[in-house]
Amino acid sequence: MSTKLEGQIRTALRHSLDPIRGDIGATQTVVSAVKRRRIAKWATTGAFTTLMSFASVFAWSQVFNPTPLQPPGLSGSSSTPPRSNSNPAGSSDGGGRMVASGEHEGRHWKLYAYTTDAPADGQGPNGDFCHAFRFGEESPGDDFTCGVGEGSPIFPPEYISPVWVMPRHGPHVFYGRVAPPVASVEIEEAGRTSAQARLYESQTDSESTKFFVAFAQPSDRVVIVAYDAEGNELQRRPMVVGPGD
Amino acid sequence: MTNFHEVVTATQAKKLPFDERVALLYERHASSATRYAIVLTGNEEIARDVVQEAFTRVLGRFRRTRQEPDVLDVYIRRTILNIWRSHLRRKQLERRHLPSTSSGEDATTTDLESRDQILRLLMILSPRERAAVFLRYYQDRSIAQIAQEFDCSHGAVRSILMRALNKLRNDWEVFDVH
Repeated sequence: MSTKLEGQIRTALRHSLDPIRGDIGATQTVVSAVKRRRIAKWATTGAFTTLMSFASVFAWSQVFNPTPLQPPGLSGSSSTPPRSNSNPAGSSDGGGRMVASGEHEGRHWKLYAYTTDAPADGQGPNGDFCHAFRFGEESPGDDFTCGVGEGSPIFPPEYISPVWVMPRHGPHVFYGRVAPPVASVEIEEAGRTSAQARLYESQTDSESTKFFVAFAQPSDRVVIVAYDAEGNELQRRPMVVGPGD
Repeated sequence: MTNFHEVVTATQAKKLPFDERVALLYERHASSATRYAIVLTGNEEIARDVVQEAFTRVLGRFRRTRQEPDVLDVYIRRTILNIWRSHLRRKQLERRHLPSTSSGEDATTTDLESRDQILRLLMILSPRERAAVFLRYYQDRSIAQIAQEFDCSHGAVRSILMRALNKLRNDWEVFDVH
């Protein structure tokens, strides 16, 4: 009886599963995701930590021997991250404070800011100021990323600090912090503007922080461009996405 | 037609750049992993997502992708099973806290309307039982190989399979699987 049933199961499984093929079209997505994961993992290794220690010493030397680290014309921003923005409990699982939200193609999204408590999941050393972008109410880890070390004292301030997210579903997302006097941010592909970013301002007790969020379907090299209120270009940040990343 | 990746020898693969090595490993193992994930999840779309996530985790961990490990298949299947179990645990937790949204029907079974009878029938089994049935009756693995993969004794595997067969036997005629 059992033998006959086993034979029937074998036949039925072959009949049902043999025609199924792997999603070869997703190869490049997997390759990019693997590379990003390896980079994130490397960021928690001893070599990276040592490197960051040197960078940290350098940053402190800048504090005690101040020389202008900021780009010319940038005023009012500090190299100190807005710690008041962070979730006191700290979190790397999608917690933190929501600084912007919206809807894109029928899907809700949220942008969080928080500080990490521990170097878990390759998300940077303790106390780093991070952003996290998430679509909908999906569980932590889905369509979710973290900008390692952005805004940390060891990174000199810039006009924009973009992060690229490639969710498993939906368009690519670019987001990041914006420092004054940036008034608009655009996504350029092949030399042409492909998406206009929306700016969001997050007011806290001590200061306000601006963020930009843009959605695009990039296929090649993408450049994030920041402009001031007069339309002058302030900064260009190239980002290689998709195949070849 | 011969697949390009099938004729790449191990020596040639070692000389490939990282991107191409990862792509090669993915393309070699994706079909088998997808079939396994479909048996587990009962949903092709979810299965493909789970497979991508599993490959990302496993290949992201391997220090030397230059040497395709013989155990890669096993690692990927274990990871798929773990991802799926975590997903189910999370769903259970959500249902517990959101009784109003609980439909009482598992998401895995709702998408099986059009799928084969055998896959629908397998949904009555636990994820571990489904995995064991797949390995034993689709991949023709020995009891010893399954025991190694599940990290349990031969007797435990036999008992998992026996339980699965008993469950399936009861519903086999009802589902009219051929």
